Amino acid sequence: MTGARISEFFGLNRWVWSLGGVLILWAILSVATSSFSLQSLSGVAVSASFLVIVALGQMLVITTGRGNIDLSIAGVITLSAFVSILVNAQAGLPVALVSVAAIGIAAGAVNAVLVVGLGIPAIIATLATGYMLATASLVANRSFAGSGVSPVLAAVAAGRIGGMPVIAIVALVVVALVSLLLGRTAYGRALSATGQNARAARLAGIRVGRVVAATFVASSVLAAFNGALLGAYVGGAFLEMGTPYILQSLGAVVLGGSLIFGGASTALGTVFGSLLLVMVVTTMQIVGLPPGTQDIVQGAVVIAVLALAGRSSIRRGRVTPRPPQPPPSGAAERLRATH
Amino acid sequence: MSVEGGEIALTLDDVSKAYAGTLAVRQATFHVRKGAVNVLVGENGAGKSTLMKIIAGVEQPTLGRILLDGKPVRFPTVADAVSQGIGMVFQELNLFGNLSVAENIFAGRELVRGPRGIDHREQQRRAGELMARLQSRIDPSAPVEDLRVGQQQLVEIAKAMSQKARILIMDEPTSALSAAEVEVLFRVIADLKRQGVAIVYISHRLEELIRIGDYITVLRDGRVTGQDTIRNVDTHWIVRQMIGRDAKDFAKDVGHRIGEIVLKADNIVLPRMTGDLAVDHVSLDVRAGEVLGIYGLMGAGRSELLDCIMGRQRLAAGTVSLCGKSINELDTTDRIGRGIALIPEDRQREGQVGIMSIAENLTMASLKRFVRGIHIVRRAERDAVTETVKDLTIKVVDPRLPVSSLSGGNQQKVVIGKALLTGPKVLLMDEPSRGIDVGAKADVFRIMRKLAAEGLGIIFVTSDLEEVMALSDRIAVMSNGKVTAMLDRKEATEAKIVAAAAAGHGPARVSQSLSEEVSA
Repeated sequence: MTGARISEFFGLNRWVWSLGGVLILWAILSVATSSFSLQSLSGVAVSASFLVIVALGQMLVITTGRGNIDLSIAGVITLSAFVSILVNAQAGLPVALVSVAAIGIAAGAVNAVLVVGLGIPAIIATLATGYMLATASLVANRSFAGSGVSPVLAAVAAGRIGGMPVIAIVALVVVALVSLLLGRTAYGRALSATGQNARAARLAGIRVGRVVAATFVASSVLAAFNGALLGAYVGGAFLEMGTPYILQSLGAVVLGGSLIFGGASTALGTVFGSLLLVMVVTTMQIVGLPPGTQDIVQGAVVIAVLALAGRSSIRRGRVTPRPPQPPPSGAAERLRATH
Repeated sequence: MSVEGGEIALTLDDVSKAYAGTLAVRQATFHVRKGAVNVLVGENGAGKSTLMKIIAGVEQPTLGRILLDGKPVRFPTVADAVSQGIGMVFQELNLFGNLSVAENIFAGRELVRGPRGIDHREQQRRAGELMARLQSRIDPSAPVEDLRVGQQQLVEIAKAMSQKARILIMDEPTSALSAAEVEVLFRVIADLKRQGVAIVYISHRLEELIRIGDYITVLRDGRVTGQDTIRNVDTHWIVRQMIGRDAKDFAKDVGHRIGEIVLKADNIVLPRMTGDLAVDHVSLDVRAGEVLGIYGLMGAGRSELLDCIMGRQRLAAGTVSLCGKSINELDTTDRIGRGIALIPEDRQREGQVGIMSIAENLTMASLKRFVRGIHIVRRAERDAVTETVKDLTIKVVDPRLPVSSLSGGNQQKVVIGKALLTGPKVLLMDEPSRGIDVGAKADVFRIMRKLAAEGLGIIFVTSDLEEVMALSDRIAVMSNGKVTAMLDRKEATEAKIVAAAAAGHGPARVSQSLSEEVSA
């Protein structure tokens, strides 16, 4: 394998870096601390599973490029947790699940209308819808009557099959589906093309608006179900329970090697990105850093990754400059000469 | 080829300019005389802009000298040229839309009064004076973005005047002006001449050059092909110098049958933001197996016309019909589905997705063909890619590499291949040979002929006279948004095409006399 081949491999498979990070951190933790047992690994797996479900939705939105991002997921997660518990207590699980899906679809549709239809920058539009959802959670919080967690949801969120957390299986299924969507379907291709060059995509007959809108709906729906499961996992709902997922989902996406400018994403990378981020947090907990410091470190990690990714994309821009445009006249003459 | 005349302010002495791989200017000598209008004229790409940029300090000559008042000088930056009294009115407007007229005129050299900062009142007073000299009622405090393009052009001119330039370069200053504004500009130019200012004047409007110019220099393929005083020349002479003495008819039959009308555009109108028309009541059609060339200068409305046909302009009016059925109600996606494909002018921005693979770019517009159930059948896709690569002689090592790894010509072939995989009936090609090397050009032209022979209707836009003559079955000439001539291959001559491309501008009298010349 030549050097060029190797760098090409890393260029095409950016998830390798996060996998490497996961392995290195795991090795260090295993050697350095006796307290990092298989059990804590499964704890990491559970946290990472919740994160990856949200992060995959975030990844789809980021893939559409032009700075698209979904900041409303925190509000969606919190509200879904409240609603699933409230509705489950009064009307049973099926209605609760339908309500959760409805929250996801509605929030995603509103985001899509604001961003695609009205052209409002996603960072502002989704921030605003997130605030509206947070207010709805406040209202729900007032009528909150103890625990009504569905035992079925609790089994999915916290149960184990042969030592394997069920939620991890759920997460892997979602990962597989998103991977197929990106790699094997026309929609996945259209999504990459839209994220990289929306004008060219449009000229290739791709309905760019619909492609982008669908990602916002997908992101919200994934966040909504994640919220319901998270509520079942912790056995209740509380305000702000979704908030950490804004930065963490972004962190998982960029750590995983998806381009923050859109157009190139990897579901597998997002899995490793989620794992890595959760392990970083776990490490800090083991070391005994206070929660505030943990947030600082997480933020610093994301910024560091973006700084490096930004540099490399600038380099790429220099490698392929626009070809100079020679004067067009005289072409036909040369054409004749070649015939 | 020396011309007797007035005192010389600046000389480009035996100047050449090379860009990566091409010579934009070859050993050109150009005198700029004081108190006179020095006209530069030539086809697109003949090297006019490069010469101007050398004078204005935007570019440095690769070889040759610049003589100012007989002494060799260098202009490493624009600021150096400005400090020597060289001003320029750019063709593309370089104004700040959110600033006022006065602020634009004095941008970068604001009038300041001690610690109180910018003296807005004085700036506005002087801007008002300049506007009065241009006989314009533009309010100096109005934001530039509220002005029509023609008025913005006047602001540019006022800005150059305010710099008290000794040498003033004007690049197509009348392209956006109304007939009345042109008259005012000509009076201002006469006024500047009397003050001894040397004016370098560039325009495609030949009648205008004859009227305003004193000395003329004609460029072709980077060479100076003619220099004279305007008194001694006429439009026929200019055209002859522009296209060369050996201009001849080399259109040839490619020997295939031309079929039914496949695409018909009727009365297409597209307004500009500024209120005038980018596409002005254009009607044309193309038949199966026919190549229709649209020739025109930049900004003549050619690309906009293709955009209208493609359904990319919401404000467009008129009807577009494909095989006799109106497709007006369809969006771009559905039009592609019905069989229209566009090869855009700007490959990087609209034609391809840079970091996606060659294969993915090729099949991007036709993915539906390869989908079974919900997933893409890799094998079918690979076969189509292999076939297209072979058909279009695209030189690729591996179709899985990013498309940006290809040369410009091969990238263009990928864009063409992408369009062809949609199975189009009509192919719209906007400057298909721009920015690609000679060999690839020949390939692209061969592909166009082959496609036409297979029964595709092709409309292609070009600024290259020889190209349009060599490839077209029929030639539509556009100017100022209008089709000013529709010529059959047999009746088309370079002179007719050039004249028609300059018609449609400015005063009715001029365009009328030129179109008479065309029909004559």
